[in-house]
Amino acid sequence: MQLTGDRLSQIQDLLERGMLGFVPEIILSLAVIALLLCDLGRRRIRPAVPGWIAGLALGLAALWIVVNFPAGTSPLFGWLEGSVHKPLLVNDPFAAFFKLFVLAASLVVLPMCMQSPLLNKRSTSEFYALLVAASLGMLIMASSANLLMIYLGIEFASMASYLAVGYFKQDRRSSEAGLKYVIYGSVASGIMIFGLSLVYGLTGSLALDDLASTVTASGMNATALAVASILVFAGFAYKMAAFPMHFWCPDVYEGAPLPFTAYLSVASKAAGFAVCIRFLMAFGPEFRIRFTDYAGLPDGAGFGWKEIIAAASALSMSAGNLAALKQENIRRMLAYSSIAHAGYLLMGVAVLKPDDAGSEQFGALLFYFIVYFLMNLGAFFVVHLVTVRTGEETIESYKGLGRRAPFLAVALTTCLVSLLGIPPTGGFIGKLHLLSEVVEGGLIWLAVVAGINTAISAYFYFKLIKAIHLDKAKDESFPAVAISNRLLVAALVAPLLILGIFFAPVSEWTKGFGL
Amino acid sequence: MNIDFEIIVFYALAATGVVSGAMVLIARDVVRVAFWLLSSLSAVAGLYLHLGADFLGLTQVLVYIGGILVLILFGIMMTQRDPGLVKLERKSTRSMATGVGVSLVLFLVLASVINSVGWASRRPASATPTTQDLGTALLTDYVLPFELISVLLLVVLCGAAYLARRRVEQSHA
Amino acid sequence: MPDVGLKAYLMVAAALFSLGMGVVITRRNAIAVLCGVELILNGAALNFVAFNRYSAPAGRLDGQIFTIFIIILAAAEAAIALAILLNVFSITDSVLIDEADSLKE
Repeated sequence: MQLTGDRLSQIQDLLERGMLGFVPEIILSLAVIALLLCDLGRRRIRPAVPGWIAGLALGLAALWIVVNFPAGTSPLFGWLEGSVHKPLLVNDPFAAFFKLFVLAASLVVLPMCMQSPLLNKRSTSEFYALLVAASLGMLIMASSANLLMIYLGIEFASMASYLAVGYFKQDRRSSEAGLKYVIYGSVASGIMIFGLSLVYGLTGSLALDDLASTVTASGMNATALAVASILVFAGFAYKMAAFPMHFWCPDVYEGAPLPFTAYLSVASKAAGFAVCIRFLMAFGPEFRIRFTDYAGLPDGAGFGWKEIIAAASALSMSAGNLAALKQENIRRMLAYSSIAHAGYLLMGVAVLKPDDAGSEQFGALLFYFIVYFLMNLGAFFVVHLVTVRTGEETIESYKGLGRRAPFLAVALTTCLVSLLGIPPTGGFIGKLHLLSEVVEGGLIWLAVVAGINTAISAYFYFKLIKAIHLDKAKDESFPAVAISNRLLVAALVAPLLILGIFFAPVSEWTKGFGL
Repeated sequence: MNIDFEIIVFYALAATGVVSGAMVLIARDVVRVAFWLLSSLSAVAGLYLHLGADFLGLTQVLVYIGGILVLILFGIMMTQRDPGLVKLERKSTRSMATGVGVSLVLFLVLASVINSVGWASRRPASATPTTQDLGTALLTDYVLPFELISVLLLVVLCGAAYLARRRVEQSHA
Repeated sequence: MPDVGLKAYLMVAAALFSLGMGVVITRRNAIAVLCGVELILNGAALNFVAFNRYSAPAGRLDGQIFTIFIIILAAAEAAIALAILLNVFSITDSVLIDEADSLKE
């Protein structure tokens, strides 16, 4: 392959057009490098400086996306084949939504990191570099339109996360959590790559755009493509903490630095969903595994990815909620609750429809993402504030919080009520939207499973709420919470209540981000 | 004669790779596992060369065998105190049977899927050196992942060095 | 010129993948599990290279590029896993992954 002048100018053109949509990622890359370098100087920098650098970069990146919000789909990078541009990344409203989601989550987590006593010692800049690097990987996940970029994005986010989870190297829990995360994570990504290799073989291309045409062109390979995409789904499920790759979640959530647990439970999950949705959408709705190739089955018998996702959804929520019942550690309880929420969110994915017709379903799903962001980060923020002050993580230690710290208690209760999904919170509206879309999409059994699961989950959410408000504490004292922290908690919890009542504008707004 | 030779080489490499892979599953001692892995990875490197991917075959030898396997052997050496290496690391032979069973079932499923597909196969062009084309592709079509992975490697390098750095900080403090 | 054909390579790759999965499921030693992961990755990489030769459009090297990235990322992953493993080992004196259970209590 010789590079002629013509081709060179084509490449130059692609790079220049791509660069503008890629500025947030460039900002984050520079911040990662700056954070890694800033500890090398002779003079010790103040512990707060790396946090501010990270915050500045994340904020700038978010601001750039808001200002240059993509109106339509524009391809970034990639190559030209004939006159067809095969992009590596795409910049569209869907990607922008999830990028902002990830950046906002890391911005909320930053103050938690900066207050955490364990992270407030010397040489913490690596931790912030890892946080920013994980966000960078997730931005790539959200916008990748190529199998290689999907793989690279997932690995980028994962590797930074492995290191961050095991960051407290002298702490047994953190190291063990890191070990489990990295070992099972590499297994999951190995399975995913094997699936990707089969997809590549079946389509002859790494571009996601070529998937759909292959599926419609050759019906006979549907079984192979289905097996391949189930293998790929294993990798996505690991990031989403959904069945069948959810088992790592409680151990990692319990052992990781608490701010990073909060980050994983929101940002990592959302990025996993973003990449999964984009991959599934590339197949189109007609993608079914047909068993007509085999003898003795009626014509057209089979199932499609809708049923596979629905099954994963039902199993995730059941596995999460049932295991959460007997948890005594609040982090483990929230971990199982986050597995269950992966199930609720997958329910929304199962009924997604591509193209413009899907905006209603996308609206419901993305609305639930916003609510999930608020309630899960809100809950983790309160848990963080309590843990920093009491050093305890058991549900036992939350007894009497209502009297010891009324503000935190009310905030945590609101988040828990919303996670459970009862009015007047955003969680209720979000779940209602999702369930109505699921019923409309013809998966009534799944809605019933979700209903039963909500009832089951009431037990453990209310167990905690009861401990907070009704039980008596042994020690009534509680160190004061600074006004800045109160404001941050309020900024997460107040919208949750507002979304429980004035939800219409937001749910209308989220319809605009479909694929 | 030439043709037969190529096919014989393929089957020799394939057999080495698969049998060594099976030994990774069966062998008792972690050190043996690592050496069977070495043999399996070398066979895969040979298969790459057989497929005309000369650059990849050599990369496999350099990075996988020269890098990753050495890393794994270092890991084994540094955890030598562990009784798990001496004693049987499996609870019973039953779990080895489970492993073999899982592998067999999985292989049969995958093999039947692979067999059912009418792979669009074109006649492979005669093998030409790929290094130049790979280099061109990495710096044109794939320049983005190429740059990204350099950032990632920097992060991993620093992060892993931080984690592996032994209690030096404490002795200073 | 007769050729062993695509399917033969795919079978070898599938065998490596299956054996790797078997290792991952039954081994308890974290280092041995890592060896299983390497088998899985090699299965996938072999698929990519074989597909690149037999079924990708002529003149494109996408599969080989992907394999390069697999090899690089596998090295990075192994480095991380061993760095964390050494920390766990220095604390608990064990490399058995299911003995890393202080979290379950």
